[in-house]
Amino acid sequence: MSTRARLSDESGLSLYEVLVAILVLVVGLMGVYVSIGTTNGAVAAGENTVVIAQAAQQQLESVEALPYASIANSSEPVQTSTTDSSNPTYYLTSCGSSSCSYYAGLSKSGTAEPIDYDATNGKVAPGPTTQVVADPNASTCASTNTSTCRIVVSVYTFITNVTPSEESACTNTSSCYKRITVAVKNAGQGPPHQPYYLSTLIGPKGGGGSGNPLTSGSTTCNDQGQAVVCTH
Amino acid sequence: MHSLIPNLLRRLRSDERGFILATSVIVLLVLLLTMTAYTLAASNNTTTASHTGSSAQALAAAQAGEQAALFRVNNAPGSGGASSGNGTLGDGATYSYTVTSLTSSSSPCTGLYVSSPNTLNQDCISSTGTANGVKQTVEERIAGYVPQTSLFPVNGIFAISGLSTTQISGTFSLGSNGTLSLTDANLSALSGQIEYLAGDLQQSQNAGEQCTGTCTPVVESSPGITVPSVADSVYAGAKTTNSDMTGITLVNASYSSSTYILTATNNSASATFSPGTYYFCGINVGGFSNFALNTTGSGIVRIYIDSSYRSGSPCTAGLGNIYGAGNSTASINSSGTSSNLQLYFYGQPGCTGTSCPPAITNMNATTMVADVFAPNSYMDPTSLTLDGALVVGDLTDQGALTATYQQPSSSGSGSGSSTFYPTATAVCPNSYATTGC
Repeated sequence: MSTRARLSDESGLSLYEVLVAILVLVVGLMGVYVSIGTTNGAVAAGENTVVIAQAAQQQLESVEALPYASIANSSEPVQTSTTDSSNPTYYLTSCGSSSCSYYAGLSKSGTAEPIDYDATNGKVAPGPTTQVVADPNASTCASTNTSTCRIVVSVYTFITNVTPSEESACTNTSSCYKRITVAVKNAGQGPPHQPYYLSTLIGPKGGGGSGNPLTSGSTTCNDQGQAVVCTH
Repeated sequence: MHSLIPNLLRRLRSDERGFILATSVIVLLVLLLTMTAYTLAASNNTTTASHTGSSAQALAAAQAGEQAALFRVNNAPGSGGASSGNGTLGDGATYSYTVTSLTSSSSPCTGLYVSSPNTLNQDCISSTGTANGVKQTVEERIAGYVPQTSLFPVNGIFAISGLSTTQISGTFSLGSNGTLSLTDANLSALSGQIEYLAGDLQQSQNAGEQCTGTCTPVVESSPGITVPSVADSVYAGAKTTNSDMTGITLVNASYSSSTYILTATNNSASATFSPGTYYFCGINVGGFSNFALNTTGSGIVRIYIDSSYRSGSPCTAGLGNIYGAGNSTASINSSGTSSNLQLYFYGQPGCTGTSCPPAITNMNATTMVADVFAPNSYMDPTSLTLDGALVVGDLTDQGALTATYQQPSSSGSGSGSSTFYPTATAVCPNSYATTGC
């Protein structure tokens, strides 16, 4: 049979067609597979980001709830890396000599603030402390067995004193307010790989004493023209 | 053209070539659409996660701004930073705040308007934090007392234009912008300061009786110590709202609502005051002995004794004091504490020395446990025992002057800066810019 005749013959054509279709499907499905993997990774990273942000917020709130005198690091932080900027202790300096400072601006070209370290009154551990978050419905996740945990994070908390050079209203460091920096880093293998930072300022709380109008029994609050007891 | 579609349909029915390939492409198309939807959902998830993190940073930054604002309001009042400011935090978030004064209950701010019998300053801090374009705003109402300049510039007795006495003892300070005539007094028995202008201290020639040891002489710079005043409106307000017998228990005494005079009618008369504000034109002890002016309860009793020298006063001339008939004896709050009784005498503004009307006169002996403010009056007790603080225009003590200084409770005129305390805080909704917090 001549080539022309074979080409014009339709027998066996469906086999070629099937092979091409299979090839197209395989290539397409591989793309889908890769895409699913990438997307799943992004979803997991997103979930981890939320969990890490919540852990940081929880830590910040627990520190803010302390009496002002207790908002101090209970021990001097330890620098565990001088080269890895994704390690929150990278921004520490001179620690171990009771003059520990922290580059709260997360840039070593900025100003390092003195760590507020108070072994007597301080209630804030600088960390890292390990926190685990279980998968939904998981009951075995614990800090001693993290294999079934969704994510294991390391929490760092640094309390620094804002200095008169940063705050013109300060007369000296002890008369200023404090900065709380919480850093939460994924201690596992997956993303996100960079630590999440949460930072705020906190001043002396006052609260009690005769200078606070709310402590006086004769102070009232105006609620739509009615004098009512003031409550926080 | 008209035959194209029928031809195609006919071919599809009769010819199955390419059907599998076409089906594969359609399957892939469906998969592609499914994956696109899934990827979009995942992208939204990632964006939401990122937004959650940024939102927490923005909220923390807003709270940082609020803390910085409160600190600056309390520590640098009047500077630019106290009314507005901004800053950057280490996590890249920024804050900006404004501080506005609240003048009435209708001034917008979170929480309720705070009211107090004492004068209050009230401000509103609005602080916005921004992180990666996400904004959060917090609002805080802060309030603080208007600080009071003490009416008592000396920790004890201050007689503005002059003081004389023959005996002195106790733990208090003594001061005057005029002459301190103390030549017969043993000043070494005094524990405190004697504050005077250069050349105005007359003390004993006996070295052992001069101001040494526990007595410390302090020379004030000219023109001397300034004494605050109590506004006429305070007396007028007391007359309007407190000129009756409510809160007072009388024994052997009576009160006239037409003359505003409380009068003792027998020996051992007493008037017992519950915490509050009271108004009189005079307290007449008459010729009786052992008159007692008492306080009860734990609050402050404020007694305003007006005089005819105040415009609008109902008092007749010559009144405006606590007066006896020569041999009277009075005990003022002797079983109480000085911080629970404040006696204000209007007197005669602008008078000097003994030309001023008397605050307490014609009394044989007087014991006072009180803070007494009579800058436009004079006093000439036969002997005075004071537990508290006293400001008087002129004091001529005929006998022994014994005193123990006690810190007065807050009183006086307002000046200086308030120390603010938070009274209410709120995280504002995202619609803050248009609807308020």
